[in-house]
Amino acid sequence: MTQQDISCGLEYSLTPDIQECVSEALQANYSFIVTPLIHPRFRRPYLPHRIPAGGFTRSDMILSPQDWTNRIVARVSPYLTVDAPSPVVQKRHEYYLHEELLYCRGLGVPAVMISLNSKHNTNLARILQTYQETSNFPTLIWTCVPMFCKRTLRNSEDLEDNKCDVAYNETWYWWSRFHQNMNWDKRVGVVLEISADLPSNDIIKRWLGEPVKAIILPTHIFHNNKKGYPVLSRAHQQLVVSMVERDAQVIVSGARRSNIEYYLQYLFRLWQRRPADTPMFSFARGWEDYLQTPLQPLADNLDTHTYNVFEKDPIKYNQYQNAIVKALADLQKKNSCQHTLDKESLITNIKIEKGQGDSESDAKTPVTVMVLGAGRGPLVRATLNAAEMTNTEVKIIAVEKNPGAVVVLAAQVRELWCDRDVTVVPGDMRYMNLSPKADIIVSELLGSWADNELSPECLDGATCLLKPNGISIPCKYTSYVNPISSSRLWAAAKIACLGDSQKMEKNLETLWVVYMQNKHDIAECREVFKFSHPAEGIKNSEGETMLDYRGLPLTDNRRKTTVSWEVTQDNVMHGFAGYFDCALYGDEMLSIVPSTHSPGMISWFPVFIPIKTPLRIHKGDKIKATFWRCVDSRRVWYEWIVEVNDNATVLHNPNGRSSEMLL
Amino acid sequence: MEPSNRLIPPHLNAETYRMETSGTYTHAYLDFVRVHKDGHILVGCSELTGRYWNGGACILPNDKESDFQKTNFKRDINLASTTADGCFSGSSDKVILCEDTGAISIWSKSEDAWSTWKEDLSVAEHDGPALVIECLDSDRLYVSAGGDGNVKVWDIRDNMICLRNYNSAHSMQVNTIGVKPMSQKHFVTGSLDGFISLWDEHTNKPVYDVVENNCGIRCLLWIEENKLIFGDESGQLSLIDLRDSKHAIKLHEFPAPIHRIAFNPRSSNIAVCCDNQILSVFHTDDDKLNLVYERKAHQDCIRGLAWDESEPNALHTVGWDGELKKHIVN
Repeated sequence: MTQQDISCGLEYSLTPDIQECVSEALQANYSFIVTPLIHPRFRRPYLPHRIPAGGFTRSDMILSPQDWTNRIVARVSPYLTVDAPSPVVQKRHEYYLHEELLYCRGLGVPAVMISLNSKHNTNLARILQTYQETSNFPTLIWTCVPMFCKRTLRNSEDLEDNKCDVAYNETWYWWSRFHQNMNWDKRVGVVLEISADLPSNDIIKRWLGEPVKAIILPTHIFHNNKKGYPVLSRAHQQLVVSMVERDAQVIVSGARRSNIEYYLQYLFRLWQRRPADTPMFSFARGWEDYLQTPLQPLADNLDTHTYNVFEKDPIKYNQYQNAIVKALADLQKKNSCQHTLDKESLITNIKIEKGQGDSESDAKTPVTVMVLGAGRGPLVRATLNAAEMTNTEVKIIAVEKNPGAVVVLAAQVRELWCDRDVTVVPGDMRYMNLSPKADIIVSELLGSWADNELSPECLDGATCLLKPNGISIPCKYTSYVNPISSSRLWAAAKIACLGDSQKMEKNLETLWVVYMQNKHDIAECREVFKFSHPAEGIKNSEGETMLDYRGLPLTDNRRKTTVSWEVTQDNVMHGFAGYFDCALYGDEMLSIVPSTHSPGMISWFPVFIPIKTPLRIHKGDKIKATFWRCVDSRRVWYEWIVEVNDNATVLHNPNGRSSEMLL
Repeated sequence: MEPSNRLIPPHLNAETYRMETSGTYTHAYLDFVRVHKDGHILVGCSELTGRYWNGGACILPNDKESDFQKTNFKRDINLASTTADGCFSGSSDKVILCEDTGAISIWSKSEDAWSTWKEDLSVAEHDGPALVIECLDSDRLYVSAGGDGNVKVWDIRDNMICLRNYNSAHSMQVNTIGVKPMSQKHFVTGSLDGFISLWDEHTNKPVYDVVENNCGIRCLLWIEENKLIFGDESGQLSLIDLRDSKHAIKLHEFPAPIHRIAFNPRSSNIAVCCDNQILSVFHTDDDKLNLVYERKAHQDCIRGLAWDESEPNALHTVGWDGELKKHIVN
């Protein structure tokens, strides 16, 4: 979860007097320091099974335990290359690394920093996994990666400009492969060393999807402004803010080219000056990348606090109100047309008695609006407002199955709406027969992925409540997905329930509702399932619409859709982000699709649809995903499968074994 | 001290240690030795395991070498941080020292009665420890490298001006620099990234990568116009002919990483020390090595080697045992 403030650390390549260094950094308002714990030039003798006499570093009693556990990030010795091609070196360095890791564990430092210097890191990953396995408390591993590979850059300098990204791609690969070797462990994060030249935006965005724990700002990338204070270029500023928004801390490192306080003051100012949060961002603060299981309002009754949160959306109900206004206006227009027609027929057939069929009272026949799933009544209120605004007389029937919400509705009818025509009908809209039939039905049954809270099944079941040619608000909705890279979300989904390995399997066959922050979009959103209301019935082989036992059209809410994308950048796919949009009435829309998101609307976080094994994808690959919406007599579930070139995942959630929505 | 002051409540042991600042015990790990042609010896020392990681240097005339004892070791220069390398600059009254905080400082002996050493200037440009400094052109051009992987060429005549800044010269720390004999512009750098790169002070890009080794380069020497000797992390000592740099000739394998090598052009002898206590001297003859001298010279790792220019067969060594020793190799 994101901090409100920027947290900065200071790196010391050497701490001649560690007490002094810690207090210097704290006095300058840094929160922690990064330092080697063993002198980087002190080569210990290679003596497996023997403890070197005299000790290999200074006494830890020099700092208080609180300092060790809060203020010190330990950097392992820079010369350790456990993946060097030379087997002798591997063996020796493995021994030294092990010694240093154990020492760090003994001190209880919050994080251990290790640099990746090449693409060969399998032995390192193995050693670290063993280390994590044998630790009783979690130590974070901060993997330090430069933003570009110096050698690749040097070798590719003669090539054209657009090849420069090769060097920036290279180090992402170092990290990504290493993280894959660590099975995307969430205790392993990346520390990105920012370079003076920044790569293309695509590459920066990909980094934003990685679990970046910290960024290193070397002092040489700052330049001095007119007054002589260190500042960053605009592109760097933006990168710092984006990274900090995603939970990264900032480490100032390198030669002291200016007073260390100035760097920190600048970073604080930069963070304060960042653009104001969007309403969604403020609302979601604290919920970033926090996975929640989707609600099942049909199977479970929502509690009053959940209603309370949902009702707070300033935009959503306004949109509903606008839609109802338009629907009422259209009905009025239609009625008056009808009325004129009637009048014309009156004139031609002069027989009708005057006085009885009073035209005025005809127009006053109230419009019946049914609010299906009225909850605590926000849509009833919106309908009353819309009636007021269009000067229409409405008869409102609020249908609600949750007894708790019915209590609230009934109270409002008694106390607030006693002079209005509002009736509360407790019960399930699918098994009801009311009269009069509704001119308009209004419902808010959509989940983050449109139909995932069973809106289609509910509304189809309530078809008999609607007049022929009646209006359903919403009238159409569509779910969307795009493939994403986010090891953080994937790892969080995997371990959402600790201990139970069977549960772990299930977790990756489930939709998760989450405000996604630390993710990268691999490709744009594509439509998945579409629904419209009132729904058309299926036709038999004779071409006739089939009817159910109540005489209602038999609908088919099963779906199968295949979507595909072309990959434009090497990446790792961890699953999909799912969104929806919906047409309420006319051009009144609600959308959580990023490109068309209703401004200011805070209801609905997107869904994360994981895949069991993350897929490595390359530029030019084609991702093909197939989604099924399956229905049987008592439940609905999704299944999905992904193919990339010749690779395919297993089928996820066959027969709804891991996740389902109960009817 | 009053007896009462010496009683420390046992449960405050850690706090007492933390507050204690009077303890000035420092173990002198001697890291490098350089010999001036007038006979002066520069010895650099660091404290690598104690409470304060500081260092210093000591400049003594050749004939005082026997006076050098670790017990009464007195530093002529005190540094706030440890030091990995240093050298004389022109006369023996001026030295340049690298610091592990990244600074490079120039010191000279004052002409007052006390002959104290004073810092003329100090430049902190390296983003990691400054690990090595070598002379390109005596009294004028020096080249330094360090933990940040950067290589810098300095003009030190009036001020320290960075003439060349080879940023990102290597992707890991640079341990060693070898200057081409009789050249004032060509040098090679060896790094833990396994590469040896050739540089020309007149251009801002490396000329080419001479060697890609299978582990980090620890030390190297440019012994003849076309010949380099280097030692690596695995303990392999190799020779490279620049005209055929694809094929390194393996000279000898040591049981520990090779830390430093020193070549005596007059006798064609090469002295080698590793991350251990053994000093070895070989006679080089047509790309072959003949061991002429080997002994356990120190009680801890040997770190520094320097041949004496005034005394052809004399080799000075320093080690982490705090000793400065002179060996006569015949």
